[in-house]
Amino acid sequence: MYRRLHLTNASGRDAMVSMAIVPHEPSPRLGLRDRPVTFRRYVNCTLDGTHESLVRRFGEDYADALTEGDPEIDLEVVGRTIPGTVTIYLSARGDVLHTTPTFMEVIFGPDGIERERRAASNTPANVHDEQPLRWTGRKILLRELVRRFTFRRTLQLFHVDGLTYDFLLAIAKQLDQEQCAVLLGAGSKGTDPLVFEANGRPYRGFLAGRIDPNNPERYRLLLHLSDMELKRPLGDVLSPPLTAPPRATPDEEVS
Amino acid sequence: MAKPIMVRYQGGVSSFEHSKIDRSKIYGRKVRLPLDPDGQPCERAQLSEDGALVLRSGMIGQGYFDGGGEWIPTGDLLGLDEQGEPLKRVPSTLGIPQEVEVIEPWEALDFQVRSVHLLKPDKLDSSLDEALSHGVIFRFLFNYGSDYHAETAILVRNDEGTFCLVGVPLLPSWAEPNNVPIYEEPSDLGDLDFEMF
Repeated sequence: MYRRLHLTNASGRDAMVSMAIVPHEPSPRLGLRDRPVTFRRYVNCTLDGTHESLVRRFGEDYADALTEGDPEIDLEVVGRTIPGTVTIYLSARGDVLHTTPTFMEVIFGPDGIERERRAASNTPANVHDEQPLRWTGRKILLRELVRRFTFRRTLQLFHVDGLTYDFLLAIAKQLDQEQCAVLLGAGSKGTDPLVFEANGRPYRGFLAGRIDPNNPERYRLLLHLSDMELKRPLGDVLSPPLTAPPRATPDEEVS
Repeated sequence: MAKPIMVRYQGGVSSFEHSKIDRSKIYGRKVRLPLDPDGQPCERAQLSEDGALVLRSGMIGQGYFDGGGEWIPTGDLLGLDEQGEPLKRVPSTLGIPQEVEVIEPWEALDFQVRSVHLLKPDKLDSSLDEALSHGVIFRFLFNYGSDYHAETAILVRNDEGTFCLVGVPLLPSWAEPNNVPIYEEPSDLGDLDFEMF
């Protein structure tokens, strides 16, 4: 079942469509020639087998204790397959936290030096049913797009019925004819970068469309998500250091 | 220092020094640090699904096992194709000229970028230089180290410099009136790092 996406077209008409992660070329799997193998996560050691625990019990030089008695191995637990886990937080004393921790944001500059510490703000998701993603009116030629941004994530949009088929086909046709992509914006004004989950990374979303040259009834609408421009880092190893001030991200924040 | 990225275009060979770049090197980065009720930094850990085990950093191992539960050393593993037949190792492409092909912009967009390299030409063929200056987009095979699968690289230039984008092609299908492609949920979510899903 694909996730839903609320979207407008160039005229501001909106519709609810669906979206999915586009599959990529598969990587070869690892295995053996003569028998099947499976990938597993397993318990490596228990709390009693950690370095800190062993130091407490045997002192810094505990090598002999390991070879003589295998104190780091709990035969009941070590080696057990871990089918799934949930993330939890431990306090500085090692106790399980039963409340949500508070968060602090630590900001590092492009040089890796810490710039600021501040109480973390919560960024809500803005890709949801209530507010559609809107055409910002900013279009960019595909050739230019490839040379300005990197795309690590791509979603494909699909129709859910006959009406939305016509809706998406028309968008794909327009973008294909113009050989460009349109920048989609989120939020009440339709200008914000796309945030798919609370406190998630903001992305610039560019919608590009194609019509099958062999069948004008078939379309592809891909939402290319970028969090990085193709830019030269300051003071990179391949050129002398620059003196220009640090750049802001497209959405004027670091993350 | 790593061997250069080398490409061949219209018979001319170009060679580039390369440096991997990422978002943090351009914009900086922001880290969210969890704090306990005393204001001290927390440690992120895992709780097993049955709630029986708290797993801290370093307590989880991973590996390949056969049907009898025997651990298989990584060095014994082979790359297998879809039919389960062993694949030949693909050598590193660094230092070996790779033929480039001109591609359309949409081909460069139907692509999942996994790493970005800033290039500095050691030797730049004039034909390639001219084509890059006119916005031509190139594709070639790239393999940083020897393994069972060569990745794809895209070569572009803009006002900031020349870049090599390394990744894998996407495989989007066409949507048509009564047929929407069914994509499987990716099995390698960790690899995709698709935090939004």
